[in-house]
Amino acid sequence: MEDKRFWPFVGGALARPIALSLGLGMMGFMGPLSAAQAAGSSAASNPTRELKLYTTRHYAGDQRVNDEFTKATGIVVKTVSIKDASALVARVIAEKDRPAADLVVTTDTGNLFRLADAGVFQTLDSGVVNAAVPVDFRDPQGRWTGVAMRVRVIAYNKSKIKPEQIPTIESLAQPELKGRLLVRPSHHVYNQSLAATLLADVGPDRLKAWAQGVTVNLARKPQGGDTDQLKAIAAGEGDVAIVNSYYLARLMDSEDPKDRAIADKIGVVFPDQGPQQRGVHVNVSGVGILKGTPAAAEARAYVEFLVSPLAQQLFASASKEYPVREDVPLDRTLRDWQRPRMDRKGLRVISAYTPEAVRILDEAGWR
Amino acid sequence: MKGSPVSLRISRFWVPILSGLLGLVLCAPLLVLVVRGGWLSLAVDPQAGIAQGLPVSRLWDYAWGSFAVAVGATILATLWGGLSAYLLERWALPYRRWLIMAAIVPLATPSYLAAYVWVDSLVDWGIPGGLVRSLPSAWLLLGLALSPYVFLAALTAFAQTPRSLVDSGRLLGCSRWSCFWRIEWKLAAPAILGAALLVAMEVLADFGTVEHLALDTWSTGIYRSWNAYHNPQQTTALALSLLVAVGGLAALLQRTRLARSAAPSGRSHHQERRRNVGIGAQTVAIGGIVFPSALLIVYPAVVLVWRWLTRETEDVLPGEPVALLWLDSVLLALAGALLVVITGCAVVTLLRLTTRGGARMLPRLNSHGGARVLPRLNSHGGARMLLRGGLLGYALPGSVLAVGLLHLMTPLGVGGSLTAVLLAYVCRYVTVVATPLESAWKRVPLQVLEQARILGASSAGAVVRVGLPFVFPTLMAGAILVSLDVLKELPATLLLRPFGVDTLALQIHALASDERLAEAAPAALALLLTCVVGLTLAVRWGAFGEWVFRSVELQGPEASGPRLGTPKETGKGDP
Repeated sequence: MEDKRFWPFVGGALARPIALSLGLGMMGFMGPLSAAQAAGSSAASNPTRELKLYTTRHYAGDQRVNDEFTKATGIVVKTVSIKDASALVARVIAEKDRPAADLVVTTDTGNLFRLADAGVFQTLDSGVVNAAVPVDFRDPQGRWTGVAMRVRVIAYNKSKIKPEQIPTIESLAQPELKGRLLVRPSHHVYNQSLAATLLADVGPDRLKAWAQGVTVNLARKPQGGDTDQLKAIAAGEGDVAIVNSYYLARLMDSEDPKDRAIADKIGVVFPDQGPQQRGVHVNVSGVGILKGTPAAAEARAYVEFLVSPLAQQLFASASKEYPVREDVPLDRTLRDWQRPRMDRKGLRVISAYTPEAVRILDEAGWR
Repeated sequence: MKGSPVSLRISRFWVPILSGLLGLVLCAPLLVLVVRGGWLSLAVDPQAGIAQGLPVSRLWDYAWGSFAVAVGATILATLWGGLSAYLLERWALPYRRWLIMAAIVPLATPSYLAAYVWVDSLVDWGIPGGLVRSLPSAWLLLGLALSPYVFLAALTAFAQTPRSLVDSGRLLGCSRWSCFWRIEWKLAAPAILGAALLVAMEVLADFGTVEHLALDTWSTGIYRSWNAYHNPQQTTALALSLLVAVGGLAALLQRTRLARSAAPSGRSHHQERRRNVGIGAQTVAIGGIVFPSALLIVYPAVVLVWRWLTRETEDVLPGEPVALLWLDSVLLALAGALLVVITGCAVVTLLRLTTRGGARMLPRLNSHGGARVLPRLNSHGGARMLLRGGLLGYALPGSVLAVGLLHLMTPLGVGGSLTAVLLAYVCRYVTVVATPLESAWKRVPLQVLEQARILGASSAGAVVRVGLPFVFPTLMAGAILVSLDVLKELPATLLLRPFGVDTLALQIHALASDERLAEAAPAALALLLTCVVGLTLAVRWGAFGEWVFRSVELQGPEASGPRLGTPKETGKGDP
């Protein structure tokens, strides 16, 4: 057909061969892709070569830990990082009868309990883990163990607020802080878990009053992540914020002078440290071994590696979290803060109280 | 069969079966959720699912949020796109071809990337976060990102308005403004409003941008009920409502398209006398036309490059290097496009085969000789509806689709695998190929197929060897558009991918949402570049109306194409 209208690209004669080769090329590439996938799944039946891991974490430190493990044992660790915890939980539970992976690492106790209660984990039965990790930071039934911890602290503008004004989480609802409080949206899992422990401790009425007080005190609508709250303190949008400890620690230790300048303006209070008080809210990242995995021995070795001093040190220094092992020295940034008294009891009740806590927060207007 | 030179003798048994099966496959994710999520029980006992879910009072906030964002973004997109098209068509502006490309290119980019960079850079400059993460930002980002839809529709419409009409109006005493309003706008309105509806649909379905801007919309509500409340019934109910809303808009869109189908499709016939304007006006016009791409592509690219070059951290990034990610993403995109194209062809074929009269592959002529475009519900109506329903997969939030597929595929053993991911892409994007293909097929001239039959081709042969080349550019353009969509896709890839597969979009999202934009820069730049190049190719191959591109090259009478009967032009030397 001479009419070039219908062959607007490189001349009519070449079009069909181009399209054909493109199509064949796609099919050709599909081959290696699916072969790689098939090889991947067949490797699971060759357990000494690799471990497959689902994780919600996306930190460089974790990669280093995996590399150290490979160096030590020769087992390669492949990860699928699904940042969305609900999606991860959905996938793992859906694959319960045919697990595609060997391990799951996730950053919230709530998630760990949900997975454990759905029956996807096998019991760890590891003396090493039991010795290394305090009983509060592992599953009571031995299905998972924590590997790193973070606490939720109050960050404040050193020039505008005195730490005595904000000794507890509940004090954030005080009228003096009206229009000065910064926090991320309520539906984020960090705030959900905090509210759950608060609910367990003080009951629904006080939680609701607190949530309403917080909403009134907000300097701006809840937005962004924890680091955004810290930057907003430095920029003067607010004076107090609720953040996870490692975000502030990261800023303090950053190689970027701008970050350090922000961190210089900010002080930190570990709330609820009084003798009768519950302690600062703590949450763990944890790992569990999936039932039915052919590489159970290797997986156990990996878990034991995660609670070994080397890995714990890497967690501490790379992502600035608290190690679960008490004999591992803290990263120098955290050392100034020392180990706060943590709300260990609260850890167990997070998953039970979260749904009601979330609803109360929403009804109070904390978006 | 009377009046039709082509009829495929396919048994009446198979067509509805195949259509039904294909429709079921396309609708499967949603059906699985509805069944498993116990939504049917929700219908029986409305309080059952809501008790542990989003408070109903919040739903009003979400609905209002969606409405506010959609209205503002649509108005901005319509004004910006419409005005740009008008200026390009009526004023003599230099570098016309480049300006058209610049106006179209924002369509390719992932809007969440622009949102990440926008928020991060503005907050860095000291603008309070509360001002940045606000409704006007959403209007700006979404409206400008989607303005190409309106731009293209308006460009087509204004170009097809014969200049002589306007001249006659002026001669008869209308002022310039009055001429525009009463003549050009009236003729262009159906197309422009149709495109505006399309923009509204896209805005309603958007999640990434509004979530990053901390706005409460229906889509974020769905996500919250899924993520924070873990309530599958409520999630499915909310997703279905969104589907209904978007489907309603799509039906409205169908009507405006129908109104427009009477207008001639094809090349512009008017002489290209454009108004000469002063250099000041030209600069303003060019600035306005180029602004969307400047804001959504050039600015993020510059910011990303700057962040990357001035980064202080040398941390080892988790995951694969960018080159491998790029390869993974592109291969996935191409594979997805191939499957979607095949499915799209199948859908269109089956749709046409289930029109009245059974196995006819040609547009029916109504009594006036125009093409009849109304779909008919008839003996194969059920199967047809399933197919049409499958085409609505585009409106389903990606995460809902992914979870549905997960529940479907895991018992079959292919839960986290390429099969699942590709199927998700097919369900989601088949409409991107099928809808233009349907209209393109209707434009295939009847007589060419008739002549093919006369010359001895079989029915199937006529369709494949003669009809297919007519729609081939549309197919290729659709394939590229699907590739671009797959490149940018997040939720389904996140949930369903097998081990060892990671894409650029996932890396960007993981890093940027953790406030590590500098580390996301290489992947983001790679994605941006690939999308821009891909869209350029698509436009080159006639993605948005092949003559839109060609029209820049048309210069005068030769533009109308070869005229039959003149030996010189048809190239045949026969006397």
